Amino acid sequence: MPHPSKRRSGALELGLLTLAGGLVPAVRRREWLHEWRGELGYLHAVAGDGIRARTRRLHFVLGAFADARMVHSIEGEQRRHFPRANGSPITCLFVLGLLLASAYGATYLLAGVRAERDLAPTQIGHGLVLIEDAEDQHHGEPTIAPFQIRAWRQGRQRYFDGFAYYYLAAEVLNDPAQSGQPARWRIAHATTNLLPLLEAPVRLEKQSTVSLTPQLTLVLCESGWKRRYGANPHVVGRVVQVNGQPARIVGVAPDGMWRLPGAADAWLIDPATEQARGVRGYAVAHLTAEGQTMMRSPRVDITAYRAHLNTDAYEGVALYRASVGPWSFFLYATFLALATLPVIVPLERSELNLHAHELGWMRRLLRPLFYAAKLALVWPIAYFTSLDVAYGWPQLPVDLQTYLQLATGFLVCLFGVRWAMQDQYHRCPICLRRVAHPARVGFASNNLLAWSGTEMICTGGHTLLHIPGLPMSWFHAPRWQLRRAA
Amino acid sequence: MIGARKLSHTSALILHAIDAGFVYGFSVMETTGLPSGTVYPAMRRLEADTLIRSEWEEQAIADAEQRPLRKYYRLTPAGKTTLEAQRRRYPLLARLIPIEEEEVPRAASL
Repeated sequence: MPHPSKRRSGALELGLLTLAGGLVPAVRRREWLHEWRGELGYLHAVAGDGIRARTRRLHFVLGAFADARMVHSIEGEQRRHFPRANGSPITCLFVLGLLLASAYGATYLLAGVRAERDLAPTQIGHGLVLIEDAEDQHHGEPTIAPFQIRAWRQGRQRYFDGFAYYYLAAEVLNDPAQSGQPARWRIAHATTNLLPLLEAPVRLEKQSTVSLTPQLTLVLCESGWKRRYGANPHVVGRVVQVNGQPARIVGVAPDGMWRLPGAADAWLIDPATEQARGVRGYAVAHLTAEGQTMMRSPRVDITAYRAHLNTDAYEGVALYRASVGPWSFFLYATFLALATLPVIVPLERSELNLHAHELGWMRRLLRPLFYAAKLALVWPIAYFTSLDVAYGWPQLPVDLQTYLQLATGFLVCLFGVRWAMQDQYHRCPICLRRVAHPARVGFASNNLLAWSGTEMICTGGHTLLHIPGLPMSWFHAPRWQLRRAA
Repeated sequence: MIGARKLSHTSALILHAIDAGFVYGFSVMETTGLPSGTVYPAMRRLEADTLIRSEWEEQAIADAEQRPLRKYYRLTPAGKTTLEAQRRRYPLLARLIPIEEEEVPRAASL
């Protein structure tokens, strides 16, 4: 009867073999296990039963995992019919092109992404200032009354040639097309000239409804539109009730486009805005050419003259062009990814130490072209993927979407470029196929005079890639060796 | 040379060992000094590339010798061609594993 420790050892070996057999495709598993058990039986017979023999058998059995992975890989190659990105150069570019087409196609299929793309921030006009009361210590607070705007508009102006006005109010919005209770919205009542003054086109606007509609017009803000309508583009053209007054939704505007104070859910274009009483709001003025020359700093003092040479002091705050949007976030993510890249990719990996005369000018040209094509495909893939991930769910808060886009763009850019670099590193300089079949070669030594490392061969048989196991002064970077036909 | 594939040194060594008469996995391991995690996967790859082929020995032979069944490997014609090319590429192969003239175990039907 065998000793208990021997039984335990044998059970462990068989257990490991069975475990490794799990990696082997079912059709080959039985035969595979049969062969390994037979070889293990032979090892039992020749190795004896000491601690050294058990260790030897354990090492032997652990090798079964590598073998099982290889069988799995070979079986997969024989079954696989779809192309892979690490295949031939043409296949690689085809797969990347497919990924790009999928990511780009998704921007059309996902309503939230489509809307975000349509709402790419537009620029506001030059020479606009927000007028605030100079005595108000809190910037961004509404300080201007409607009658002041009427007075400025009627007076002769030297520095301004247009005034617009808006004020914020909480209003009840009732949408008959939506079931449920009327909701309370933060509505910005704006004069009819506010949008033209800002030169801000509303992208989803139905042109025919703007001038012909008898109702008030309503422009939804992006965040309100996403939150309350789930980014549904079909709300444009719908008639809703704002405090009992019918108003037609004519479009959606991005939140950060105007950089105007007051976080409104929607803009109500109301001709009666300037007639409102008991409200305070914001005045936007357009500068004349002379006024623009006077605007030498972001903030300027403005003096308004009244009757009997009385004056009021105001402050003009320049409204700058808005430029932040998905594209800007992605550019920033790209910059971060490129700055981080040296941390995760060794610089020496890009080394190609084959002599120029061994390759020929065509091959020397094709290699960087292939590299550039991969990078050129990876970059837009990262952009469209970041859009899909971040804006595919319109219910998410806008801030979270921004972070998601930044994170996705950064990660896809970083690891995409890393993949492109490593893939290039493993491409044969002759045929641009990947090197494969890694094998440990050489012998490690204590005096470092011997050489050991990993050797990989091009699947087309043109080159060998030697990667030193231990970088030394005379052999520190991977080397390509050209193989000539035997 | 048409039909001669290029192999890594390890694969060439294993191919040479099989040709030298070490025709089952464990004997290749012992001869080359390579671990099981290198030898068996390399033999799978060589078999997938049709440089070698395998066959189980007859049950009666294993029973007579009171040992488990063995799977024997043998070079295909393509494997022989490739090995010839590899021997020119790696001249030390023959010194590492001299080809013995003695009779080697064979699968009954090979």
